[in-house]
Amino acid sequence: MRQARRFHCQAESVAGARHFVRDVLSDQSRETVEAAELMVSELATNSVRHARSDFELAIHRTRDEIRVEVSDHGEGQPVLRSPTPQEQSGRGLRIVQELAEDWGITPSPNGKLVWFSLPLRPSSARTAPARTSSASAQASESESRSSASRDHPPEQSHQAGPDFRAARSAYIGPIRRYRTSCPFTAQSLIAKLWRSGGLLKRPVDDALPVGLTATLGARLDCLTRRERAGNSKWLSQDNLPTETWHCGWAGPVLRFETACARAVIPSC
Amino acid sequence: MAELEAEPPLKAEPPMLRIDMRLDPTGAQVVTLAGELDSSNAATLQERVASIPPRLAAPLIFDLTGLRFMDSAGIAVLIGAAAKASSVSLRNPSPIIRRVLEATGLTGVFLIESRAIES
Repeated sequence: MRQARRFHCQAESVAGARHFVRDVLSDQSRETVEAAELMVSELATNSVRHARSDFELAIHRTRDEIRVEVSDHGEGQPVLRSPTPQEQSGRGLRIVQELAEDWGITPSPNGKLVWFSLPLRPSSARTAPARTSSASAQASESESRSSASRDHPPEQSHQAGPDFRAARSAYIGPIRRYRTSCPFTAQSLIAKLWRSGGLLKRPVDDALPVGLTATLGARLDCLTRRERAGNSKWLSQDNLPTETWHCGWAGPVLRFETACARAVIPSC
Repeated sequence: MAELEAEPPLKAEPPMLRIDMRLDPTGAQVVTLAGELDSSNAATLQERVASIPPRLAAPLIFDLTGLRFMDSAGIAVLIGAAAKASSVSLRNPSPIIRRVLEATGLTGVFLIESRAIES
């Protein structure tokens, strides 16, 4: 199903685009609607302010995800930046990067299309209680981890591979960013997270050996490698890439998702 | 965009933003925002904030209780204000705003005041 609307190149269109996406996704959870609305606002602002172009907003629904596209006639390409906390601007695409399940930029003959996707999450089917405060994240981590291990026992993860889809639909907490030194490998990154106690705090099942493979099998539900164009590829503990990577937009970005935590790496 | 070329682009209404400014009994400057804050009206807020007379060590509080929406254009104004005030507090930011502040590494720039959220 596809619903689309065109908007004039004027500042007010940004609000119009937001209201359109809010209406189209009115059956979705508040979290999904608000994230979609915010990302549409950022992309529509880019079209109006930077591309100085009319734009089209299209919303596609598939069986399990929402894909939102903003296309315009602008020549330049939006750039993902990493502003310091004191810098006032440059956070538009960064917000898309943080909130979207996946996103990308596709050049077209007469402009470009920027898209993002979110999992379909109907408002009546909340899978976990909403977290209202990040201060409680630490305390709730063990709670959601125990529920994750109940839903996806380690034995099952080892045999059949992690259940990515179930883990993604159960995910609800904030995205966390982790610093890493440059260059890095997937293995060094995971070892660092393990040591820092951020993502992989302690074994879900203490009977498992505390080796990297075992802990990964137990707790790393999803691992996405995201390339520059926003294309992503699901990885598992069995096929961790071995090459050396560098931080920044020129290289791949790893997204970790577990039922209890989500991290975007790197941030250096 | 070709398949919709025949249909005229949509004209949209500007978003509503209400800005109320007052001094609270402790001497803090409170800016209460309601409605939607985006790139179309961030400049208006910027002007109002810039008009606040500079007073030494006076904290600035943005009351976001009634603010339904804010994007990075609004965040930019708040960061600009934080550079000039002794401290900037955000009162009752919505969950999505908190999430964005956390995700973009801005929680250290502002003091967050939140009342307990009823479920």
